[in-house]
Amino acid sequence: MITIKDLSFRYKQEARNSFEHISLHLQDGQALGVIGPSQAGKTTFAYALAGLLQKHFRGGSLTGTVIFDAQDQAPGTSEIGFVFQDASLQLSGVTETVEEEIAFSLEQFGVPRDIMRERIEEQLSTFHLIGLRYRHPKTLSGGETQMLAIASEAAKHPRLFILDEPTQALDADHVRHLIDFLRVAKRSSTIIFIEQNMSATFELCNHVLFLENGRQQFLGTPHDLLNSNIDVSSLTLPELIDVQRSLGRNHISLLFKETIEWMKKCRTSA
Amino acid sequence: MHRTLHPLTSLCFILFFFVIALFGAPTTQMVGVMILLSAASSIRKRKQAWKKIALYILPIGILLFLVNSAFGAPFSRGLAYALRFVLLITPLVIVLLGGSPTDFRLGLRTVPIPSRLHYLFIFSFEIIQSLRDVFQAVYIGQQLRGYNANRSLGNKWKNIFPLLLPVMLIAISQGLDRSLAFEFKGIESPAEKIYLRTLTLSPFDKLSIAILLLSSLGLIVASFILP
Repeated sequence: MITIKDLSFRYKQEARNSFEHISLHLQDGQALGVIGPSQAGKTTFAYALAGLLQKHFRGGSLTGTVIFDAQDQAPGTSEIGFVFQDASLQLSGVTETVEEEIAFSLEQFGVPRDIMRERIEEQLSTFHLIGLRYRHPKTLSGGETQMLAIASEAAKHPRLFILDEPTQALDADHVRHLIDFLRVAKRSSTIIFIEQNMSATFELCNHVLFLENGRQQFLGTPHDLLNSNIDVSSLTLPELIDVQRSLGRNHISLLFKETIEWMKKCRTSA
Repeated sequence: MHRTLHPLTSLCFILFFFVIALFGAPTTQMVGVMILLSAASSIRKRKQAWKKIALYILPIGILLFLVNSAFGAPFSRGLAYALRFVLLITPLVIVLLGGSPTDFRLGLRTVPIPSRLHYLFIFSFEIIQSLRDVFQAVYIGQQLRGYNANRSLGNKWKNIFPLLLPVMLIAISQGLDRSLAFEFKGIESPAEKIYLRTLTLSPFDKLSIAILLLSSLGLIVASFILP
């Protein structure tokens, strides 16, 4: 459970806040999609949740509170999985196989060897990396590297899993594998999913936080966002939604079947 | 002999020839060179080892011999310089070509030094590769923007310097991102590390280390006692 109260942050020597007055409450097993155009403050917000701003950007000014599990104590790095935007920088650089790369963080946290082996197998199969097990991480393609970066963080079984634009280097198959994995993972982890891919976000997340210029424009379900008066022109919406909006539908649906039925009805009445 | 050697054995091997080079008598040094040459013939990458010895080590050794034996200097002086050079450099070539980075990395884990230090050591090799990739990307990018690489060598060198600044800035920025990522990988975790794979000292390694260290010690002592 995460409760955020009036959280704001400004980098040192910056004129405006990177994000401001963000308040939300997230239950365990929920996924929050953080959406918005570039420079909206999404990554900085993720850094704040992971405790990086407090530790590495001390010149900046952070106000407000983040409460985890009703305690004023952030989870440790072993309990947080953080997938950064550039997956190639996330690889340790000191391992020589995909298997060792997944094991790297488990080794650092002293996870017993038998559990470590179980988790490696689990991640290799979940992210379809079994065939790449003995490949050098540097020889992987962009999409495979991204999957490996996610797998290495997922192997920690984090309580809070933050993913910063994880689908940007992935093809459609990989995106499907990732979403399937996260749907299962959110039963035991709280997921913060920062994305430009609205289709994946709406499919996975119970709630979305829409940021623009660092300001909280909307917090609620994806369905409520699409049916509100909020201007979402800065977002690249799925075609399914674009079609409904351009046809002037009042009640936008995220469900494919329902939309097709509505379109059929429209055609009949026309 | 294609045996996986522990890095400590490799280090003792280098140390042993270092001691022969500095404390050994000329005959001992000649025996040392013979041992080295036979070791070079028994490693996995023996062709590469011989190529390096023939192209770099022997010519420089011969040059040292000729220069130091010239102008009436005793023949033994030139020989001593040449032998020392061969004894100091050849073991490094044999160790580098005889082992693999994986063995070295795995072996380092068993050496009681902080894990941060050995990651730093291995990572420093990695970062060179990363910098080269970044430079390549910047170089191609600048060429597309009109940078002319097909000029004279002097101009080429002069024009390379402005490219170094973006490379350094990108490297620093990547370094910061990497440090954040490493934090989540538990690099600062106080927990006792448990490794998936380790390379332990085999009985062969232990015996070799003991023999090499005792021989080195014996040579040092003998060099002081014997006339």
